[in-house]
Amino acid sequence: MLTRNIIIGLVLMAVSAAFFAGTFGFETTGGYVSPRVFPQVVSGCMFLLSAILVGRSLVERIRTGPVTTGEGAPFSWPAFATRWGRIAAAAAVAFVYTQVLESLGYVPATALFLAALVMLFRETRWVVVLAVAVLGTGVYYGVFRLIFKVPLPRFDLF
Amino acid sequence: METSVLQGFLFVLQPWHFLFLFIGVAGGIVVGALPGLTGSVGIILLLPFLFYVDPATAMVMLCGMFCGAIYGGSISAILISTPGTPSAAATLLDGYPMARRGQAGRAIGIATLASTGGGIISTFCLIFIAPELAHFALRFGPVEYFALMVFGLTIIASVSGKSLVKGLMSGVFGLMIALVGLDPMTGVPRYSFDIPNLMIGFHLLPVLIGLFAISQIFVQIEEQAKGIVLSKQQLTGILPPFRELIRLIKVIVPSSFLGTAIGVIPGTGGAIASFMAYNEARRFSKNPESFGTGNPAGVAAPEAANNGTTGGAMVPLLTLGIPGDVVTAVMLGALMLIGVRPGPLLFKESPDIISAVFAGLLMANVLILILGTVSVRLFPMVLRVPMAILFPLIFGLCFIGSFALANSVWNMVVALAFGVIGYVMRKNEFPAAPVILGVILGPIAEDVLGRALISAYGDWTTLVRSPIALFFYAIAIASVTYSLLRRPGGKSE
Repeated sequence: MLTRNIIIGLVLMAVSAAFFAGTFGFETTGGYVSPRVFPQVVSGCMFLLSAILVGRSLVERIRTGPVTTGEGAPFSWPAFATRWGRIAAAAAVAFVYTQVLESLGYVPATALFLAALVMLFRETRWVVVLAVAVLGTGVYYGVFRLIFKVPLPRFDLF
Repeated sequence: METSVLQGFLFVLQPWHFLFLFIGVAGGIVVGALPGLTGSVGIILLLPFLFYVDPATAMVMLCGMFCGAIYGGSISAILISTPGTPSAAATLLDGYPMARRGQAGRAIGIATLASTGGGIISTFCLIFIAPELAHFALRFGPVEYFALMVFGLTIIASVSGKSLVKGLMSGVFGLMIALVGLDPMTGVPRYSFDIPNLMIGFHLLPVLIGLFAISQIFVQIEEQAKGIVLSKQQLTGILPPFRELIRLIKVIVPSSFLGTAIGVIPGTGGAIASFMAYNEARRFSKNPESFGTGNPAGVAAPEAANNGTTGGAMVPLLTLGIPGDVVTAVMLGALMLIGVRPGPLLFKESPDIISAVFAGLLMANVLILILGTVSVRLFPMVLRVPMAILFPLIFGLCFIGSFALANSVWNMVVALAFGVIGYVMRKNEFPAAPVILGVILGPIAEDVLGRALISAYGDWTTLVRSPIALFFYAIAIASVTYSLLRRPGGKSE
């Protein structure tokens, strides 16, 4: 956790510094209120808090020494893949869904998306996978398209 | 006031509105009962539907979901020793031992009665306190409002996570998200990089869906191996005998008032209230050693207290626009999305919504009593719903809800991005509630700051000249100090 805190703190310090620098590109109108002030205060606060997090984690790290097991253990690819593989796959499936939704149409894209997610939850019975995909898509289509009249993307062959 | 509540009842009891309340309460019980889903996720899942009803009906449904979810958490705490919501953690201490002795039905019955009692008492407190506080808050100008925003953000950030620094960082991160888009005072585009979708800033709904619901789905994918082991339970003898009921009322009433009082304090919530009520019930008990082994008072006290926080938490939310806990923080977001801006003006300009909330909360608690006693045998079935079916369907709902907001894929991508951010935050112990507060309060705080500076001709000292503003700054500093003292050396990790 300490290593991760240091990394997150450093990333947020960089982001808040970029936010602060970005304020100098805002047009000012010369009144009592400048569009720069609030972003500068906010990014300044984030920089300060991130620095405190980094500093405190570094002091704690020096005090306790390097960790060889648990959260602070050295990085290992197999452990990483086992732990985060399915989450990364779910995020990837969801991203692909957002990208193909308009071209593929709501019904086929959603059915495929739900089926993929059910399988990512380690459900191997194809009847269950099919049922969730078909019923889930059907219910959402019924509620949002037919009742709420939301114009969902359609698959047009021509 | 009586007229107002009566008008609220006439509204709530109309079949269409009552149906929405019923769906809210029943959905809340299911969401609260399922470990892995909380009241805040339940409220977010309702949001895509709330755009299609009027604000008062939406409020009634949200009240139902709020109360139902707090009660629902007790069901899994009693049946499987896993609190469905954090506020039900104290309930399992005696609820689960009762279930193991074959008294699961009796424990759920006591939890139902105590929850109803706590909810109704706290709603009456809300009805009497809120209009007075709102009347007082009408005196607030931009200076006082800015101080209130600082106080709201600080207090939630300082108590909602394990680390004060991380809580404050989450709140400031929310403020940074809110900076994207047009400046509310001057109309100057900020951090939009000439991308049209960024010009209007991030919409609150996909941010909420991502941070709370999609990140939770990622957590469930990671922890999916854990199945729920549900042994056969004795779900009979739900209502306690009259003599026991009289004994329990002596615990339920003070616990309800305690829960209400704690709920009123922003940043506290049901978990703190339920443990405090549990400790008080044990302290005043003739058999304190029986607590933890299946004492009915050990179920009644936390349940009365955590449902007591529902009315209490609505006091700062409705009158000042400051949420009492994580669920009401999400509820604040929900209210802004449906076009209801909580605050003292709400009492003046939309009394119909306020009366609907009062009546909705009272009726929600009556529905909890009815559903809790009639449908008790369905509860084990709810807990058996496979995660492999439930969470993909929730993911699908999250996406279609984000899409339906503006018929735009962009909002789905935003929801997914914030889902990943929310997951990283959860894994690194950054609380999500302050982010939402930052996103909601950021533009308001900037707006009132701008107005305060304009009216004072740019003089920044105007921010510390009002006694009311100084009071809010003082309690903000006190909450941070308390948070530092609570963690020895201010250490968090």
